Amino acid sequence: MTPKRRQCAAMQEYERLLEEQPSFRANQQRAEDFTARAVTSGEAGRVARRLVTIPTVVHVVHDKPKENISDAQIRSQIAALNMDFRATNEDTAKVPDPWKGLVADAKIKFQLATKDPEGKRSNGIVRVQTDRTSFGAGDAVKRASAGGSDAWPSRAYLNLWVCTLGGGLLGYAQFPGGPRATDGVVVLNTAFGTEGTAAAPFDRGRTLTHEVGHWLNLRHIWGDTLDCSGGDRVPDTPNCKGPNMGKPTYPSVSCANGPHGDMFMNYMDYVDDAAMFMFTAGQVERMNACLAGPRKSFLAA
Amino acid sequence: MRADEVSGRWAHAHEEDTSDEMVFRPADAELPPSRGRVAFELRADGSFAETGLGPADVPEEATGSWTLEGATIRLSDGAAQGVPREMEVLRTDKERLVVRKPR
Ligand SMILES: [Zn+2]
Repeated sequence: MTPKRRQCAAMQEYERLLEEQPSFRANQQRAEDFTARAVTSGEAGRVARRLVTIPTVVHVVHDKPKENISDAQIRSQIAALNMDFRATNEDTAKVPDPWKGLVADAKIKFQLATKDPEGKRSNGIVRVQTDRTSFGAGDAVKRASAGGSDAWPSRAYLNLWVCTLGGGLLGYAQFPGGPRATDGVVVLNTAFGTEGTAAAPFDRGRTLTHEVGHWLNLRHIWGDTLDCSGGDRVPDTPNCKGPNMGKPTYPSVSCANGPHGDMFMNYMDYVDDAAMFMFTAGQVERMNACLAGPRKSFLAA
Repeated sequence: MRADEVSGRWAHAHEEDTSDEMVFRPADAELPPSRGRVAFELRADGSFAETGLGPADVPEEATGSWTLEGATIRLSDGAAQGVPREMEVLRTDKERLVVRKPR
């Protein structure tokens, strides 16, 4: 674990976001209200009819050479992300029978940006040398002045930062409605992609699938309470008590959700990469509502 | 059980949990990366700090006060997804703090 001091810095950053920017909470509430309306009115469904392409930029922030991951490792991650979001990943075959009908194609495609914000040709990869040996959850990696790399305009690009993270952290995300300068996803370099420095049990690119789920407004399937009171605001994911870890055995029952139990093979649980392989139709509808509302700038692209 | 036997910084080694037990390891132990790992520090002055899970995976920090009564650790309110507020210690040594898993 990291020294306590660094985690306190992370918390201060989070608190600053909530307290100094009252718009963050208000925006999140607006996004939530819109989501409910878009799902019932069919607006989310209209987004669902066509493929949405999200221009994506990867900021590789490195100190040691092995942190400067290869283009091939980056491409392996984008390929894995696209399979997961199109439900073309082979392991959907492992979804238990009662839930096979819920497996859903989000019809979202992530493409490394071909133009930078100035319109110049780009491969969608930004490499930045840093003198920091690691980063925390406090967003320094998103600021060039703090040894990181500045975001590309977040209404036109999904920003991904890949770096060494302290404290055993695998990655973190920002929900829609937050500050633009920090909008995007951060992933540990050894949990990014399916080759190169990617290390088991986080070597199938699923950390990014999970975090992009948050970026598109998905919640953890246990509803972020460690009892049965929380919900993920998605009707087709069973209520469950808390995160599942590792590689659970089906069925794993909690919160009176038998006989099928927790849907721990969902991307929005905390299991190993090899144990998660589905989004549900309800989750896809929530992501579509996000693209019809708080992230509608990507529909025009 | 004495307070100094349970005080210190502990991280949840969920990999070592059983169906009845939660296992904590000293927070400076080399634990592998995890999508989420709660941790807490019980201080001699009766205060605690903890790191809970976060809704977008940013760890949530909180502080409060704690007591030890018999073998039961009680913590005041803290992180929304932190360690259990009441933990019955089954055994502890320099390497591990093992508590009964809450129902
Ligand atoms: Zn998460």
